[in-house]
Amino acid sequence: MKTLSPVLFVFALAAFGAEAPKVPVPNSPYLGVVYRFADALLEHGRDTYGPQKSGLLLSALDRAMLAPLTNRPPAPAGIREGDRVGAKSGPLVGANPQHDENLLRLLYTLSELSGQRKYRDAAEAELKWFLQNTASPATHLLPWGEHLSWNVLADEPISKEDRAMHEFFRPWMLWKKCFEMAPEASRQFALALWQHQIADQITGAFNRHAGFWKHAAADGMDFPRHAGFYIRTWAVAYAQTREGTFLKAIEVLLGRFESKRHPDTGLIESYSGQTSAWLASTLSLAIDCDGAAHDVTEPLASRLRAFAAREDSVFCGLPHDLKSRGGFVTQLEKSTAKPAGAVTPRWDARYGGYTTAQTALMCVARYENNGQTGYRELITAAADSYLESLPPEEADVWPMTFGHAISLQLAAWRATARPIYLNRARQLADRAVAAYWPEAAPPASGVGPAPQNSAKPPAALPRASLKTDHYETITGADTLALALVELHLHILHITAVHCPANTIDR
Amino acid sequence: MKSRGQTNVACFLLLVLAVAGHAADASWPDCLAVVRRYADTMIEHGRDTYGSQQSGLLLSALDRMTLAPLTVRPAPPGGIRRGDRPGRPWTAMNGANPHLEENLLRVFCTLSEITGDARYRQTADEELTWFFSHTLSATTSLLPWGEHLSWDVILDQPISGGDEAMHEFARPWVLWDRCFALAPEPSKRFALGLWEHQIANHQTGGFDRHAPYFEHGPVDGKDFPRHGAFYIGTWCYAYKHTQEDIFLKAIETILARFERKRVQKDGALVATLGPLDLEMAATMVPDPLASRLRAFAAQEDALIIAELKSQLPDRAALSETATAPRSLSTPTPPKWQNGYSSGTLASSAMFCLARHEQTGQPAYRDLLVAIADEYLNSQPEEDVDAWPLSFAQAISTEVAAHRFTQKDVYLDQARKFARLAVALFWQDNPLPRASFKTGHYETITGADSLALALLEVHAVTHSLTNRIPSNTIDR
Repeated sequence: MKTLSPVLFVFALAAFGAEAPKVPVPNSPYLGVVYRFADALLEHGRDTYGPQKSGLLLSALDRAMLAPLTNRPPAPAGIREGDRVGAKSGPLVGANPQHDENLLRLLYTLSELSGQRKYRDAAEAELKWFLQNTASPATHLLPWGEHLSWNVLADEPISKEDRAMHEFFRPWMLWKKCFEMAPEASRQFALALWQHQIADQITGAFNRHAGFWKHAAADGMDFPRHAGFYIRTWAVAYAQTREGTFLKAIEVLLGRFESKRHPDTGLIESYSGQTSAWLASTLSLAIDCDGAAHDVTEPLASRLRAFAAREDSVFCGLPHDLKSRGGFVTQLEKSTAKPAGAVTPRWDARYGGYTTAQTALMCVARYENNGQTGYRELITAAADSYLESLPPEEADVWPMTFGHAISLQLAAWRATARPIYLNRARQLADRAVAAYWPEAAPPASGVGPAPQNSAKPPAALPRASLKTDHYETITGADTLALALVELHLHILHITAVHCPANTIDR
Repeated sequence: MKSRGQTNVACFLLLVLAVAGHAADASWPDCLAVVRRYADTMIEHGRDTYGSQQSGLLLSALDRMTLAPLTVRPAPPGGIRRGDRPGRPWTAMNGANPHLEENLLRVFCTLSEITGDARYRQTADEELTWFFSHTLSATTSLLPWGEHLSWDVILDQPISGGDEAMHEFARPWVLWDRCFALAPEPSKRFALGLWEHQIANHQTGGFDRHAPYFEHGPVDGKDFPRHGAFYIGTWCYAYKHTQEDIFLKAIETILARFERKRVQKDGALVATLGPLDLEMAATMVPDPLASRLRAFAAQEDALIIAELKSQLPDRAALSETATAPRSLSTPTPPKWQNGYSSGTLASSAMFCLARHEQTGQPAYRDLLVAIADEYLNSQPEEDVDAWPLSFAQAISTEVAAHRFTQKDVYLDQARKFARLAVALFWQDNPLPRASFKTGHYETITGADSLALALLEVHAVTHSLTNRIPSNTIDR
């Protein structure tokens, strides 16, 4: 190209003189719903009961009264009675931080978004009080997770029985915050996990159930995903304390699962003695191994990464049938890699099962850390399967499932820049808001926190499922709220605030 | 029938497959092949052939799936502000912003030197020529580039990523010699525009880093020192090429402003303009201004070195010289998480490299090597939305540390980072993606700087004598 002549140059200067047309700011009504939820919980959903007013967030509430439940409402579909936050047949009056984990993560984000400390303060108060006041005197394990919670009325762990079992509900991503808030209690828990969850410290044998009140570690159902939860815990504990015990613990467990991998198929048994492999469980282990690698020294870090990379190649190489059946392979024969179970359902969440979106979000966790295009293909195929799909009318769908579907669409949008995914995320969010906050006013109003001293906000809390009417976080109200915030940030292109990855329901 | 874009992707897949078999081979990736394919794809699919004016400008964002302009405004990489992206708010992102392409233009020139293929340099020259000749504001003579403005290749007009059309540098512009050679009059007009329409007070040098593009309206406000240095870095070239005294006056005014501002109320001194642009300007202007610039730069060194030392986690490693006073201790920057107005630790190393190249001061070399040590075996933290720029600066830090020490550990680490960066950002595509968590191409996160870093790795691996431009302008 040639330089313009002076005459043409002057002409070119005159060719434009005004700014380009403006496009209106897109509407994002979702944040108001989330603020009302968080504000209602902060005002009405914390433990102000019994002699010890712990400030813990209750994991179940009466939505109409915004008060603790006095009964035990019917459980959402797919939820086992023993996993709920109440004693057997008793009212649901427990606080279980593992059920509320995404809510706690969300509270930090809301403080960043709003500039108001109260959300972060509530989260930090919960972490501190829970770690410092609830650990078992004998084992130092905590009354949380799959089966335990803290009774806010009686001020004691929900289960007083000897066979009270400690089991993780999902990975705990808040260890760094915990070590900030309560370093010694956090260290003691991490140590307890080694001493009282692991039955054999040579072989790493364990059962995902361990005695809470007294030492009762057994060699049994050593689910891979639980190994990942422990490894993540110990990695942060090592980073914070530099105690060699935690490296040893990781090494032992990693070695156990390295040796479990089938030499031909690369698959790992679902638990000791089984001939099948549960893919979601080992993929979850891979996520935690890779995450843990950041906090430990070499050569262990490289071993953890290599384990995760091997899992990537196994998982991405499987014949997932997302296009025609809308689901991931769930189970395979370990020695032949022959599929041995149904594919993941889109909407049917239940204990021990994974939906398609839930599994896809594990792919998101891997993809957004390793960039492997095999995962991208799985993510977009999974997102595609939700473009036209809605739950069957009779299904008792959980908020978590909508949360996963929304976050999956957003991940596909990030990865491809195809607007169909962002649009679908909005549609699913609209439907979720209407379904779980059915009495709420249309969420088209403001995006800021509710005004102080307002009257009790009606229907601020989401219901536990489409066929229940109480609030109970075991079905993932927190995950849905996190997805709504994630969607809001995507719609308005906000990056100054960090939204936690919605990938921990695994 | 396949589109050209599909064919290009297929070719790149073949390339990836071919090298995948050698993934364990230390020579993988072929950095030159990756960069050249990137450049070829930009030339073939990434230039403005749209709208009524087919300018040939390189688009600053593209759809990697279609190798075509984006039809949407894609999800932003972490830490990127809405108003800084190359497109109008809330709609398709179709901007060309040479400031965001600056290192890519330098890569193009270097590619021509390495490969002997002149079309890379020709593309860069065409971009500079067209942009300077067609996009100056008729009123202010400022350019639609930098932090907020770009040229919309569909609408054929200047656009802003935000609500207002504000001129602001995104980084120093180091291509002035070429601009004056290709478009002397517009280059001069811009330099004058910077004095007349960016500087609000010609006595005190009061300015704001924001100035209206379409109409005169500079204010005396946020006079960020780095921007003052960028202006000096512009006017010195303008003086060099025109010998007009107005540019000396402009430099002197800004220099005097910061000579005053560096002295705090309590008499303590703080770093302001930084030494880099001033030292460079001193080579182009006459004394006594040149001496004043050099003296100012030398004093900046003392202040900045102390601050940089205080940033390092292992300050004892630098104990042969005094460590920073406690009051100067600053938090260690993150290794991988970039964001608006927040660089990584390696960006400090790049500053050290730039200053060492100017002065040869050992303190800067030692700081760079200490930072290179910090990156050994490091990887982005979990869930960080890392940018190509983070890798670029980490790679260039390791290459420089290798050059200073001749220790293989640094070159090995540079290659590891290069391998990781190619796998993570290019994936199966000829264009790099904007960040770990996004899938489109957008140069605001430093794809251009990463390409430059890969050329450094290529050059040192193959003992090339070609001069690779220093990867030190992201500041």
